[in-house]
Order: sequence, then C-alpha cells, then structure tokens
Amino acid sequence: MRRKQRFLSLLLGAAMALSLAGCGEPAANRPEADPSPSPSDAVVHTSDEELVLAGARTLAPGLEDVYFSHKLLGAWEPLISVDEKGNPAGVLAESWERNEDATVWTFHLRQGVKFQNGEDFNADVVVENFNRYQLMESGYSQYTTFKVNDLYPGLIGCEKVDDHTVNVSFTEPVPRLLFNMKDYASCIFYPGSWDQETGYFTEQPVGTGPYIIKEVKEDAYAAVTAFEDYWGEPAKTRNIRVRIITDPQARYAALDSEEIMGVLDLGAMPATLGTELLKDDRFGMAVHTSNITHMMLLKGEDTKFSDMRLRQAVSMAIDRQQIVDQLWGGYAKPTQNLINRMCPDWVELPVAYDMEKAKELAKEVLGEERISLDMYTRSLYLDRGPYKEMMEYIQSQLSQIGIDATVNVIDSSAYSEMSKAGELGANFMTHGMANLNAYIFLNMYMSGDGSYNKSQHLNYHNPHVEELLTEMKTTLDDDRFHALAVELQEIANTELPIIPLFYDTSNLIYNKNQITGYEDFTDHLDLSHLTWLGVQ
Amino acid sequence: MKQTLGYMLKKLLWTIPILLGITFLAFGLGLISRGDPAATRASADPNYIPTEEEIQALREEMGLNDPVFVQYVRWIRNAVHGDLGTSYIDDKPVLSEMLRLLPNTMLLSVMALLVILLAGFLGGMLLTIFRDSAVDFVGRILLVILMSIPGFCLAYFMIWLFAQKLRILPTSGVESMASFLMPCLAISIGSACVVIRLLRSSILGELPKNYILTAQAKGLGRRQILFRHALRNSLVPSITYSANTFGGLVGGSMITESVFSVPGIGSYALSAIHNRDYVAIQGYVLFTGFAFVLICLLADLLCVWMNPQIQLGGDS
Amino acid sequence: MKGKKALFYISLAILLLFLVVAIFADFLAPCDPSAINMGHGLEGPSRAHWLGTDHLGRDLLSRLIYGSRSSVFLAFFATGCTLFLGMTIGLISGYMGGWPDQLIQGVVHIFQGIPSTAFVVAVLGLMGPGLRSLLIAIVVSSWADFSRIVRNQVLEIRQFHYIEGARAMGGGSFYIIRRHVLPTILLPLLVLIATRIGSTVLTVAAMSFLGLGLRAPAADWGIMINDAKLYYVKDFWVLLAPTVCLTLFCLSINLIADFLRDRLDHADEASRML
Repeated sequence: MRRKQRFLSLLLGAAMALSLAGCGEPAANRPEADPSPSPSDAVVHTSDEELVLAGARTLAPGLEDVYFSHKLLGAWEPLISVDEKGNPAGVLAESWERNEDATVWTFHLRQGVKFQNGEDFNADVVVENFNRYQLMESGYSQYTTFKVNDLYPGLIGCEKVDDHTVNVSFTEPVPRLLFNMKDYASCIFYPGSWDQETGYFTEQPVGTGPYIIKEVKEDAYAAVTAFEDYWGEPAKTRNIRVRIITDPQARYAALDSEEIMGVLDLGAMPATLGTELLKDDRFGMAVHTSNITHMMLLKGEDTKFSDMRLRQAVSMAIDRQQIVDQLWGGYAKPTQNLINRMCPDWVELPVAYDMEKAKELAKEVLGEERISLDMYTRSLYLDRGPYKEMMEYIQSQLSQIGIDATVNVIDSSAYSEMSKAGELGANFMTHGMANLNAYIFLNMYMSGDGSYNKSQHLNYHNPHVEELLTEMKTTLDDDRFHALAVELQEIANTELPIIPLFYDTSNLIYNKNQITGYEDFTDHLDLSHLTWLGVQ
Repeated sequence: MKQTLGYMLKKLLWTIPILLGITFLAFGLGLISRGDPAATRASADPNYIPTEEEIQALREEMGLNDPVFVQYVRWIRNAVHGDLGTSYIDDKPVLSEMLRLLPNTMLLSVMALLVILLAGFLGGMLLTIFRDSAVDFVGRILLVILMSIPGFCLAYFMIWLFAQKLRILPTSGVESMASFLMPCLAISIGSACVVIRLLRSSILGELPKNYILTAQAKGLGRRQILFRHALRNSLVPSITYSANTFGGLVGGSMITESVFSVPGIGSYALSAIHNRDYVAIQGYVLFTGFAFVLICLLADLLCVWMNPQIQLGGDS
Repeated sequence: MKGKKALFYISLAILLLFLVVAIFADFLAPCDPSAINMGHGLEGPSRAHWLGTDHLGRDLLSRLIYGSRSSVFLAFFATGCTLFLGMTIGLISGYMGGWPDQLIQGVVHIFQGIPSTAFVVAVLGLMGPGLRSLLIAIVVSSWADFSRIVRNQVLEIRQFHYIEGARAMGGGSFYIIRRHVLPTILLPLLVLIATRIGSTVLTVAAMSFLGLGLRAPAADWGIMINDAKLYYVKDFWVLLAPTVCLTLFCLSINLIADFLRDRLDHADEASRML
C-alpha cells in the first residue's frame, strides 16, 4: 500500500511539474498580464512599442500579387484616391486636366516625394508604371484584379512632359478616368522591381507610403515600420504588426485578452461578437462605410423571374431592416439601389417591405402554383458575414409567397462551373464598387451586353435603358452624366434587374483604453493615425 | 534473428507497392473533382467573372486537355524531381509551400507525441496499479468522457479558459513556444486517453501469462514484474497506436490549426479544399500518405526490435 | 463489476433513448425545427421554448430532436455501409486466400496508408459537400480496417478443424461462412462497429464544423455547433446543447464498446484496434 502511495505521489509530482513548466513560461514572459485591468490603471506605453492588430487574411500576399501588399498597410500610394464623398482626390498627383474630348489627360505630380529607398518620385517613374499597367491584361490579386482594358480603355500610353508632368492619352474619350484610377488602379512603385514582360514583381517593390514593410511572415503576420522621410504627415506609431488570425472566435479572444489592440479588413468582427465585446467598456467600434453592396441575383433566363412583378414580389417579401438589425448588428444600411452609396452619383431611393403586396404580385405571376428556387452562395462569403443565416431567413420568407427555396453553400470552383452553366437559381454575393464610375457598374447589370447581366443569366432587357447607357458612356457633360445615373438608378430601383439587399459597413473593434485613431476617417482605416494612449 | 531480419525486409518491400498505390489514390482524387480548375483559377478574384476564351486558354496552358494517363506520368515524373506542381490559386509551388509550413506542424506533432506518450505511460501505469478499484473505474469513465468530447469544443473551451479568463496562454498564432501549448493539448488529449486505456488493457492481458507467473514464483517484486516484464511486452499496441496518431498529425490537423490560426500543413490543406485547388490537394494527400506510411513502418520496426516474437502474430 | 454492468445498462438505455427520439422526432418535437422567427433570436429557455431559441429564433429543442435523427441515422447508416463493404471484402479475402488475398491486402494497405481524416476531407472537398459525398467519404476511408480485421479473424478460424470438417462434409463456402465464420467474428466486430459509430458521429460533426458536412438548413448536431460558433458568447445554450448531445451519444456508444471489449480476450486483435 505504501508503495502504491509513493508511486502515486511520484506521478502527481511529475504531472504538476509538467503543467508548471507548461504554464510557467508564458506567465513569466507576460508580467503585465493582469486578469482584470480596469480603465483607471492606465498602461504606460512608449512610442516605439509595437502595436499589434489582426485581420482574417494577409495584407501582404507578396510577389504573386500585382500590388504586393494591401493599400491599408500604407507601403505604397496611388496617383488618385477619393475623398469621403467619393470624389477624386489627388495623392501622388496634385492636380490634373483633360483636353476637350477627354482623350488626353495631364497629371501634375506632387513634388518633394521620396521613395522608401531614398530616390525621387518624378515623371519618369510614372511613365514606367504606366508601361507596367499596359502589361497587365488581367493582373492577379486577391484584392482586385487589374484589368487594364477596363480601367484604361484604349490606353495609348503615358509620356513625360516635364519632370513633374505627364500626359496619358487614349484612343477614345475616357471622361470618368479619375474614378477608374482610384487607389489600386494607379498604384506607383519604384521601377526595376518587376519583370519587363509580365509586370509581376520579382522582388519586394518600393513605394512612397508612410510605412515600410519590414518583415512578412507568411500566414502569420506583416510588420511595418515608419518611413522617416515620408512626404506627408508622419506616422504616429513607429512599429505596427498586423497578425493573421483566421478564426473570428480567436480574434474575439485575442482582443479580449489584449493580445491585439484592434481588428481590421474585411469581416473583421462578426456583428454578434462585436456587440458582445462592446458590452465591455474597454472596447470601441469604428464604423466605416464601405463600397460593398450585398445582393441577390435571380436567374431570369427561362425562369418566371424574367417577369418584373415576381422580382418585385421577392424584393418586397424581404424585410431588409430585420436582416440588418438581427444579423448585421444594425450597422449596415438596407437598400434597393444598384449603385453603392460611396459613389458620388448615388441618390437615396425608397426601400419597400410589404408582405401583402408581395403575395399579390407573386399570385399575379404564379397563380396557385408553387415554384422551387435553388439559392447559392460561395463559401468565402461565410467569412464575411452571416450569409447562411440570411439565406435561411429569406428562404422562410419566400415560402410565404409560393417559392420553395433551398440554401446551398458552394465553393468557388463549383460556383464558376454552375454559374457558367446557368444553374444558379439565385446567387447571393457582394459586389464592391472598386472604382466609383457609375457607368461601369450600371452597364454591367443593366445593359443587354453587360458582363454580369450575361454571365449571371439575369436576362434583363430594356431598350430605354440601352439608350440612356449609350449616352452616358460618351457624354462629356458631368451634370448630364449625373442626371443619367440618377434616372438609371430609379429604373433599377423599380425594375430590379438584381435585388440589392443592403450596403455593407465595416465595423472595426479596437481597444479604446489603449489606442486611438481608429475613427479618424469615416471610410477607411489609416494605420499612420493610430497612436498608443498614455505614451511616455 | 534471421527470422526477424526477414520480417523486416518483408515489411520494407511491402512499403513500395503501398507508396505506389498512394500515388494512384492521390492522383485519382483529382479526377473525381467536379470543378474545372481552369475556371477556378480564372475566377480567383470573387468580383471578376472570366470569359469562356480565357478559361479555354488556361486549360490548354495547364495541360488539362491531355489524356489522364499522360497527366499522371507527368505528375509522377515531376514529383520524383521534387515538384508537386504549382497551386492553381496563387501560383506557388505546392511542395515548397508545404515544406515552409512543415516546421509548425512538426513542432506541434512532436509536442503532441510527447504528451501522448508521457500521459499515456503515466496514466496507464496508474490505472494498472489501481486496477479494479474505484480510482480505476472513475478514471476510465473520465477517459471515455474526454474521448467523447469533440476536439473543437475542447479547443474553444481552452481558449476561453486559458487565454481569456486566466490569460496565461496566447490565444493563437505561432509567435512563441507558448502559443503551441493549447493546440498541442487539443490534438493530443483524445489520443492520450486511448493510449492510457490501451496500455492498461494490454498490461492486464499480459499479467496472467505464464512467464509472469514464473517470475512471481521466483519471488520477484511486484514492481519489478510490472516494469521489467509485463510493461515491455505490452507496450507494442500503444506504440503502434501512438505512431499511427503521430503519422496522422504530421499530416496536419485541420480543425486545430484553423481554430488556433497555426499556419501548418492542415490549414494549408483546408484552404486548398475551400478553393478546390486540386494540385495542392493531390500534393497534400501524397505527402500525408507517405509520412503516415513511413512513420508507421518505423514504429513497426521498432516494435519488432523490442519484441522479436511479434511477427508470429500475423503480418499486421 | 456490478458498477460496470450498471454502466452498460445505463449506456444502452441512453442509446436506445436517442434512437427512439430519432425515430419519433415528428411526434416529439414541439415546434417545426426550421421555423424562423428572427425577432426572437437567442432567447434563453422559456415556457414556449424549453431550451430557448437559436440565432434565427428557431426552437432549440426541436432542432436537437431532429438533429438526433440526422446525426444518429447518418452514423448508423454510414457504419452499416462500411461494415457491409469491409466485411464482404474481408470475407472474400480471408476465405479465398492465395493471390486474391494478397491482392486485396495490398489494396487494404494502400487505403490504410492515408490518415482517415485527411482522406475524408480530401474526398469531401473534391466532391463538394452533401449527404452523398459524406457517405462515400466515410465508407471509402474506413472500410479497410473492417476488412482487415474480418480477414484476420477468418484466417484464424480457418485453421480450426471444424471448418475443415464442414468442408470435408461438402458444405458450400457460403454455408461455412454463415454457419461457422460469422458467429465467431461477431463479437469483435460488434466492438469495432460500436467504436466506429462513435467516431463517425464525431467525424460528421467535424466535417460540419469545417463547412464540409450536410447542407443548411438541415438540423444536425454538427451543423448546430458550427452555427453556434459565433453566437455562444451571447447565449451559451446554443453551443452547450448540441455538444452535450453529441458527447452523451459518443459516451454511451463508447461505454457499450468498452463493456463488450471487456468480454473479449484481451489479446484479441480487434480489441487492440481501439
């Protein structure tokens, strides 16, 4: 018996030692870890202390990506960006003008800008970059594909006028060029880092932004450090690390344990988890409007949905406010408008929810018959919001107007195959207005030849719309362009070529006791504005 | 001794057709894939819909229009030269990606193996010593309960407890050794329970055997009998099981790696699957298959070395 | 020993309860498991909803009840299919011996050469999620174990004289298998079946967790756990309820397997498999 006891205590001792060895190390490493930090215990930071954030995907995919890193990281800058109202704003281009028929655009470049390698930014650099754009038929990026023919239709080339002026010329008028050039489409890098035949990078490119990419550990983090000679307002925090934490639940836990100070990028924090975190007064939320619209596309080809009334019925059967409130934490904005609210040509239009009317309209088309509808979404959307939940809700709403729907989540390749074959009865997706040119977007969905109208088998036709689009494409009159955009939005709001659901917002949660700067802009996060609170 | 060598040789020879078979299987998996890889690749950007011509051109470029056999031979030939192809999604070579991620998975698996062996050994001995007592009974039920809890629930529970409440371990990532502790526990607890039970039952199975009785008659101490004789002979199933588990773990554990954001083989495979990136999936299956078979072979040889009588028990 | 037996009966009772609930789900469930009531999501237990509601306002209890149908049936059915395939191949292999046996054993080794989760995930990922792919993936990845054990048992039995005797007396192969082989391998098989059912339930749940399992809005424990991932911080019930069901089911199955295993010879190979 005694032997037994001795053995037991030996075992217990070994187990204890093991667990202590396991726990002791991290506990010793993190002496600041206090189980219940109250707001009064201001933590003291130094300005050199690394600020750690996290997102679901990488912000620096590397050489495979035509931009190397996400714009958010602040390593590179574009010629043109947009202001908070969606109007073009110069970054590396200070001002611009165009000729009468909008075939030649002249850009005056910002002076005194240095690249992160110490070299000057000038017209030669811009010319080289335009040469690079011309190489890219369909430049791969996980953020937005670079298709030179869409962004710069009929591009002849870019020539240097003087050291700080360039001319970009086209074979056809491109009146809305500035909207096309937003951000990614006019990214500028120091020449020499890319392959002269493909335009892809062969080494890490050098930009002009406020942050230098110091270290990228694939699938783990990207670390940046402030660029001393940045031409603009210098970065407020020297070192920032953006970790990749794929699981939303783990991001929640990391915020809660103060391992990270904030989250960023797409689907940073699901609404339910965000609401939970906000109950704790350590956390704040920055609500940024985004250019993303969530939408439902109904296949019109050979289906009853080619009848406008049935599309209206579907739209009216969906209580968008309910979806937004219950599933998106109340921050998104219900809409029926095709165009995103970030676009300067956007107008606010009414959104209808009326189940009785929906039933009537559906009855007019279907009679007593019930039809079935296979609804699909891609698995990648599940990371961006409660898509499945939303589809399940819509499924139950549609059953009231005589439509028996199924909910299916498929992956990208099955999706592309099925969408090609026209097998997607309804497709739930988001569409971001990566460039804010209203014509491109309206044309995609409303023109008989529009790329989405065709590829998604929407089968939407309206001769009047075609006329308006033709005029819109070539008009050089900005007011006329706007008037046409409004008229088309109104038509789309009634005829519903697709069923927009709501405008996305990105809700970024951060630790407001420790950092500030998340809410400096209403439409994006700027890392260079982030600062530790209570810096010594 | 000669017999033992012969057995080992036979085992080694057996491995070759098995590995070959795994290459068939791995390649065959690509064939049952429903998606068109060219289409997948062309639509990597979710907001972009490729045209039919773009897809056709890609098919040609990727050699997808060749007969299956030609594709297989090409695949094998490249694989032998250390080239498992490049991912359809991001153009990165599959093998170098997996080798890049291997250290994390490897570290995790080795740690897990240590936990399994240590906990298995200590637990198994403990239960044997207290056999048929209340400790044994309760302990075994506890083990079954632990085995029955889904691993991902356990993982979330640990994050909640150790990272959010106690704040003694980081929630996720691979930035310090401490980050590996929770994922390691999450993948090893279930298997450790199995090993404990295995060891207990095989020791108990060994005890009534003749040689033990002889030893007892010779007046050897209980502990000596247990450690010297019974244990040595009953370790075999536990070692085999642990090796099986380890072989599986080297292939990555998708759930644990994704819950704890550990960039490893498992999370690589998972994202390949979500993208239907079948070159990567083929490479992954090939890699895990080889790792598994070779590790099990090693364990088998180890067992034979420890207990030469084993080959009499059939060719398992 | 008394405790063990009691435990066995309790486990059996729990298992039977799950089966009864699964079979009579239509009568037992108080509400429609997929009736959505969005304004009333994540409400705790109340008189109308005994276990509360999930994030879409569906009755949790009803979903659990229908979920048991899907999870339990799927586990039994998948194991049944695996058993059928594995046993047939194992019997053929063991009974015929010679080169067919060698060939089949080769194939078995190949299939055993790939870790089963990796295999299931790869098959599911490539074929796309859904009931059919799930079944195929499970069967394809686990038949080999069954067949090998059956085959080894058969080999062992073949050495016994009574079979030789039966053969000498002109009994057909089928007769011999049915009369002599099947009864002898039944007990070890039962153990394997039981553990396999338990692990299948967990595999299905894991696949649902990875988003590779059954399709929404099917009520299935794995799907419920997956759904609850984002909501359990708000309402713990939504995660706890399906987890407890899953654990309880596996526990009862494992305990039954345990009990059966104890009745087997410890040196038996089947008992060492798990």
